[in-house]
Order: sequence, then C-alpha cells, then structure tokens
Amino acid sequence: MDIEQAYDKIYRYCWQRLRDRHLAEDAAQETFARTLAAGADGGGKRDLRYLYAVARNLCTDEYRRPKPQSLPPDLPAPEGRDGPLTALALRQALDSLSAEEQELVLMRYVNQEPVSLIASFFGMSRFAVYRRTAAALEKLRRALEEES
Amino acid sequence: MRKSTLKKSLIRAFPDPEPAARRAFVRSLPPAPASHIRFLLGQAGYIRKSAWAASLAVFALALALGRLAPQAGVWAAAALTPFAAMTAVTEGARSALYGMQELELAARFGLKSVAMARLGAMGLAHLILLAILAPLGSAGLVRTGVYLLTPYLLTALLGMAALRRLRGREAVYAAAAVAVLVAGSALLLHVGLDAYAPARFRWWPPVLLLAAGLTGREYWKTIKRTEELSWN
Repeated sequence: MDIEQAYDKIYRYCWQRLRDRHLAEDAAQETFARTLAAGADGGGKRDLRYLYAVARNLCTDEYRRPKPQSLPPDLPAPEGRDGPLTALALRQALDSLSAEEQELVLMRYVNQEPVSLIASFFGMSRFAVYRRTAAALEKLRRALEEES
Repeated sequence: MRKSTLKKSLIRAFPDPEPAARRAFVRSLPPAPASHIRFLLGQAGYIRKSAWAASLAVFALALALGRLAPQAGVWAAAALTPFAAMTAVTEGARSALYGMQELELAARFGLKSVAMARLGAMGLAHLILLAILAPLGSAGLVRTGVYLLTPYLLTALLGMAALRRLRGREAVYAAAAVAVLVAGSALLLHVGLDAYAPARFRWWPPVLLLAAGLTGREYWKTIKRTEELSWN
C-alpha cells in the first residue's frame, strides 16, 4: 500500500480519537516514526495493523495527558454535496456510538479496511465484525433520523 | 437515509490531513529497511527478461532432449547447463558493462549488495531448475544431479574469474567463450573418454566438490572486489 494512503488512514483514525487536527497530525507522524523504528516499512498489510495499534496507544496516552485548558473540538469545515448540516449531524450522531463502534465505523466505512484486518486488530471473529459494523451503522442511521 | 448514502456521507464527514504537511512528512521519512527476501525479490525484478528467457530456454531444451531423445543421455543436458551459468555470470557484469558502477556504489543499495543479490537470485533459480531436471535423467537422481551441476559450477567459476580480470564487453565475450569451452568439454568427455559411464562416475564427485568450493571462493572474491572499487 502507498505510504501516503496509510498516512491518511492513520490521521483520520487519530482525528476520530482526539478531535484535534494538530494533535492528530502529531500522533499520526509519531505513529509512523515508531513503526519505522521498529523495522516495519508501513506499507504492508501486517504493518497497517501495527500502525493502527501504535496509533491507538498514542491516542490513549494523549487522551490521558492533563490538558492545560479545555478547547472546543477542532472540527474542520464540512465539505461535500450533502451540505454542512448533514456532516455536522453525522458527527453528532457518531458521538452517540460507543468508542469501539466509532472505531469500527471509521475503519470499515471511512478507511475501507478489509474485514480480516479489522478482525485481527480488535481480536474478534470476522462474523463479529460484520455483525457489529452493521449494528453500528443501523444505530447511526437511527440517531440521524431522530436528529432530523 | 439509505445505507449507501450514509456510507458515502461518512467518508466526507472525516477530514483529510493537509496535503502539503503530509507530503513533507512522507518525504522526510528515511528509506524503509528491506528484508533480505524482499530485497532479493526486488533485485530479481531488475534482472533482464532476456536473461530469464535464455535460462528458461536452456532448461526447456535440456528437458525436451531428455523427453524426445532419451538415447542422447544426460551428457547432452550437461553440455547445455554452462549456457545457463553464463547468463547468471554476465548478469553480474551489467554494471561494469554499461559504466554504471560509480552510480550504483552511491545508490541506496550498494553495488556489493546488488551484485550479490542478482548473482544469488539467478543462481538460486538455476539450482531449482536443475533440481527439477535431475530426477528426469536416466542415470538416477544423484548421478544426473552431479553430471548437470559440475559443468554449471565450472562455468560459473571460470566466468566469474574472467569477469574479475577483464572489463566491459571483453568480460562478457570471455564468459561466453568459457561457456562454449565447458560445453564442448562436456561433449568431448562423452565422445572421447565415455566419462558418463557408471564405472567412471567415481571421478565426478571430487571434481564437483572442488568446483563448488572454488566457485564459492570466486563468488566471494567477486563481491569483495566491488567493495574495493572507488572513485575520487
């Protein structure tokens, strides 16, 4: 896989966890630096799983770190033909999901990772991944309908 | 909202990194370390297709001879293997042939590693093909293997020795001459001395072992020589 594609995926993953563009960029870059230092090249399928694992740990560390001041979430201006309202509503609906469901939705539908990679990353069966992503998507759809 | 629309909207709801920052970061990354296997496979990809085709043609011809003219015996196949060895040896001289040694010495993978990998990749592929051919011989697995491997290694040994001493096209011509010489000798051994007869087999293993040892030594010397090359 192209390293720039992998970078985009890890950045989105970090942004999902941290909701801050700068922190997400720092975390994504640190993830790559650590992965390359460990001898992987960041391009293979196994390396991608490793990248996600490092990113998850870094984001958890970042989340635990005491913040000097509380800032509103860094949400970039939504783009696309759905319009800003739908994107904003979508993000609010995403917040109604559990952290694991959010990660599943991001990895499966946004980063479009194969089910096998997600299954090995979360340590669950492929069937469980199918079931949980479908349930999360349904939950998201209902949350959106409620909001609208 | 339909599920397909929701999935598309999800992709748009997540931000992408700043392209300039991403590009700058990716460029700053050090070159990824390649594993030995990946490096070998990568270098195998740089070996000319004509070299692979020539090797395959030699082995296909040997296979066809064994099938279509079994009376020709293993000596005919043995006389062909030097040409396969020649393709491997001349592949190692490509940098010198095209005057690219200086550039390759300064490249990400040094000339030494590249020469080692290319000679090794072709040699390994040839050994696999020889291993496929050996059981098909009428003289039995071990004897056929020895008959095929001995001229191959002798050609590799003399070819590498020639490449170490000569430069450019001369080296390639010398390697070709060595292949012809060894192939001719393999034929003469059959015609003149009946060297492929079972009674005379006892002479072959010592020659094979000697050729293997000297080829290993020559390979090492060839690789070491690439370290000694220096400009400025």
